[in-house]
Amino acid sequence: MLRTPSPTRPRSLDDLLDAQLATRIEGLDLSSRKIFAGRLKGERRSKKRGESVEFADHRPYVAGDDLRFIDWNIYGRLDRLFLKLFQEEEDLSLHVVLDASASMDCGEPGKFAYAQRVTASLAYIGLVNLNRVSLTMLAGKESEENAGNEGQQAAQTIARPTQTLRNLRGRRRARDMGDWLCAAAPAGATDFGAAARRIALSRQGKGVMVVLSDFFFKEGYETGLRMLIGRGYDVFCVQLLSPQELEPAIGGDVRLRDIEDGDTAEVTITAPLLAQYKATLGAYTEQFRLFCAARDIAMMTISTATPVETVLLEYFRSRGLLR
Amino acid sequence: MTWLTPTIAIASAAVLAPALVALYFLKLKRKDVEISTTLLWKKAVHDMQANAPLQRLRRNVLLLLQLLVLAGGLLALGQPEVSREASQIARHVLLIDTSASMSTRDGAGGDSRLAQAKREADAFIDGLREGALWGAGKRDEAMVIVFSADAQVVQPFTTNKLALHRAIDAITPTDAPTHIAEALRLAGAMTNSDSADTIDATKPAAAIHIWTDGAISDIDATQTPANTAIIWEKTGGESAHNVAITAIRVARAFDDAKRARIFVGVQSVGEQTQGAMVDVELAIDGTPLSVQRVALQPVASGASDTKTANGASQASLSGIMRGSAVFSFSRPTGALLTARVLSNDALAADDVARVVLPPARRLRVALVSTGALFVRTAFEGMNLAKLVAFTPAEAAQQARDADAWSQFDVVVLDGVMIETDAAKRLPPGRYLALGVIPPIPGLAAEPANNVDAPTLPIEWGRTSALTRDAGFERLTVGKALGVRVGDNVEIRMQLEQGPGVLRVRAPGLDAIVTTFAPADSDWPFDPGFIVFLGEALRALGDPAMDTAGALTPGETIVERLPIGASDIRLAPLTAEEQGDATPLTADQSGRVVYGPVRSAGVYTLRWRGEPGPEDFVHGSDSVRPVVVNLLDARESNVKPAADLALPAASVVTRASAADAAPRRALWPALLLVALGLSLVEWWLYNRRVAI
Repeated sequence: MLRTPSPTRPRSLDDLLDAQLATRIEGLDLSSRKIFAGRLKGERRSKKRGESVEFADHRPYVAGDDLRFIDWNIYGRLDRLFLKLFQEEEDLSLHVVLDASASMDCGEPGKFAYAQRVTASLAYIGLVNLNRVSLTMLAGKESEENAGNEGQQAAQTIARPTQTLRNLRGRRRARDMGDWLCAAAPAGATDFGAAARRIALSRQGKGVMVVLSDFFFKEGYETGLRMLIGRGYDVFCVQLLSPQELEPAIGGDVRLRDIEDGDTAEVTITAPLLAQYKATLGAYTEQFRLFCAARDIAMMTISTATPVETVLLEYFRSRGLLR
Repeated sequence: MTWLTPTIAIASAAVLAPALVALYFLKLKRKDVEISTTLLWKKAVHDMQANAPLQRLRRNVLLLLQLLVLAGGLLALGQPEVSREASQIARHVLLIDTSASMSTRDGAGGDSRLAQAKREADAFIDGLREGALWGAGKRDEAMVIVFSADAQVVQPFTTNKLALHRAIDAITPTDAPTHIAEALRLAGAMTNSDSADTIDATKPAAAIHIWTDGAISDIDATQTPANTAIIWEKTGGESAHNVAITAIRVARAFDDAKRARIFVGVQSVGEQTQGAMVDVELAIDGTPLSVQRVALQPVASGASDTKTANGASQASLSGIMRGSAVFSFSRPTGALLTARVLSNDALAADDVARVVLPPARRLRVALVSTGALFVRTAFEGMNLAKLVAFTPAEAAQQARDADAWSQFDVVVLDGVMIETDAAKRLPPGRYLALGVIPPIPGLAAEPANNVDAPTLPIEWGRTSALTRDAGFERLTVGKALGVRVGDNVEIRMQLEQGPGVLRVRAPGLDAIVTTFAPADSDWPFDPGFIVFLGEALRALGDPAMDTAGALTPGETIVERLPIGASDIRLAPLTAEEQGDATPLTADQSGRVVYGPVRSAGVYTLRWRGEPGPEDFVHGSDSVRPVVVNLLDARESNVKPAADLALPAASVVTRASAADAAPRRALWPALLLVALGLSLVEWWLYNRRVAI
């Protein structure tokens, strides 16, 4: 809940993903409840018949077919041309959407740092398994210490609505992914609806989309999520909440200031109000869960106090995101 | 309820109450906290307000409490007080008994009754109205009188509580008996209400508060001042136990002057069982001689020999047990005898009694007579050092030479007077006058009241050695002289028509007088006659032996020293070593006066010069011990009286000090309530904001 007093920003991929965790998650692979068509040959069985070694079926030859796939044995027996069809193996597209609005810069452990680690882990798994990995950051800014050149300094504090790192593939792109993640710092407010719309429009192909955010959007999350599922993504919503949001430890007469839009609320925090807050939070989360369930969106709420390893190895596997 | 400063309270309320409300609604200085989103909080607050219609009211409970706190403070500012009906009286006289019985330690934590009384009096003074803090209000006046054998104003009327507290702090206990009459007279005089004529209608009536345990010996001789309320602030617990020496008497044997017998009377009051025993120790000059175990017997209240005024006082004496011890020993020289009851009781002052045994000596007696047979024969039969018979003329001649006259211990006037000078005064000395009224101040013959018909004794002291065995119950008097008596005369035997036997003390004179000649009665044929003459000689000649004449606390030491005594000092025996002596000066006749003495004990008079015949010599000093004993059965009866039966006065009895305060200021209670409310408010606030 409270802004993290002096957040520690990761400086490299090693800060986000230590070697031990990397070793443990290398054996995992992404999965989707749906089977999508990929753009490149990958390791994933596709609905398409293609060029792998695994036989799938025959079909009659039509003019223009590749002569290399004609089954000459059948031609010898039946004197008819048949094509051998093989199982196609495709890659899977993983798109991680990371909320980098200022509200993510709260809590202890910080929600943004947590989201960075989860993103890095998921992306790493994707890269290792030769999937196409795209990363999108909502709002946010490039952190000062990672600024590329001095000419950009004036623009550093200006939050950008979205920035995307597209179509990484293969383990060697992990470093690029790490640098991109480390360069980010949360700032500004998110218009989730507009951002989702942009993502949906720019997206080519289908795949798994993981959205990491606290989903505290004043304009609502519904429009944005509808945009994303409308394009056929298999959407995973991971709601990250800090322990301070779950169990606030403030009291007395306070002026609560919204870190994103500066909105203030003067409240006297009392035990009944706290109870009411928790009830409201529970109701909000439940409403979100129902919305997701109705639209076949996988959704989970995770406290940032939960170890990342647990999330990856247990929660994501149980929900079918990883296998 | 009265308000001392209502206007101040109202004015303050007019200012402060709106100020508090305004302050309450002033914007609170809130702590800024940055959070991820206000979305949920606003929703929560909204939900809460929606779900709790009384929320606004509940928030204002704190304001309500603050207003109540302010109200408490403002009411306290008005200084309200509740007062009792007696509080209409603005003048209070505090009479505090400092007599021996008030030293009884039966209070909580071993406190004496006097300490308890002082504490209660202090509390009472605290409760007096002292006017308002601001501006003038009604103020109570009080004065403090202490009384024991006499009364003394230790603090005249004042509104100054500090002075009153100081006066009460300075009160010290005495071993004296309790006489309240003088204190009440004093109180009456000071309150200006002792008689209806002098009542000043403009002055408020006074209340007299008496802190005493009720052991008062002159209660029936007391006049209570008019127009005063009398409140007895009863002091003392019922459970006190006390063993006391109430009588001591020493006598040398008639036949053997070296042998002496000492009689010690013991009284026990309080929790005890039938057949209780008490040990009595006798010490001679500080060296224990022996210890006797005395069996105590209950005394029926009717048989009490204490002069009780009324039934109530007698009832208070029931539950008393008495016993006595007699020690015999042989000692030719003088000594200081100390009797002590070995008992751990509530009152220490009466556990010890002392008596001076003068050196063994025989008396020198001058008999002035016209040759009457009975008296002379009787004296000749006694073991006297010297018996010289004079005719009145010879006696007058002899009396002109003071030195020659003072060699006689006792002069017996057997129906005749010494023919003295025109002043018609007896030469200084001790006289036994039989059937003649000597010219002593306080004593005057009244021939009109002479009795010629046979008459009988009707009352006499049955415990006094002089009259106890004198055979008055068998006596018939044929003729008696009429006499008018003054204050210095004790009537030892009363005839039907007038006094029969008198003890007269006047400066330089001590006399026992019978108003009838033995020859005019059947007395000479009764053995009691001889006993009377012997006891009269002893009483006059050995005054130290007669405990009836011994000093009690509250009396004044008057001693006649030999002419030429110088550097005279008086000190209590215990303080003598510290040189803590009071220098005294003798007048021309060698008389020294000191007193009144407040505590029982032995006082020693020391001087440079010749010792008297009964004095001791210590180094170059002559020493005369003066014994002051409590010896008061009433003071030793530590059971508090049931009521204070002052004649012609209704006495309100209050047993609890808490009732004594005439008014109770409410502002401390109000401030306490305000403080409590502010604590509740703080608690509520904290409970509300607690997480």
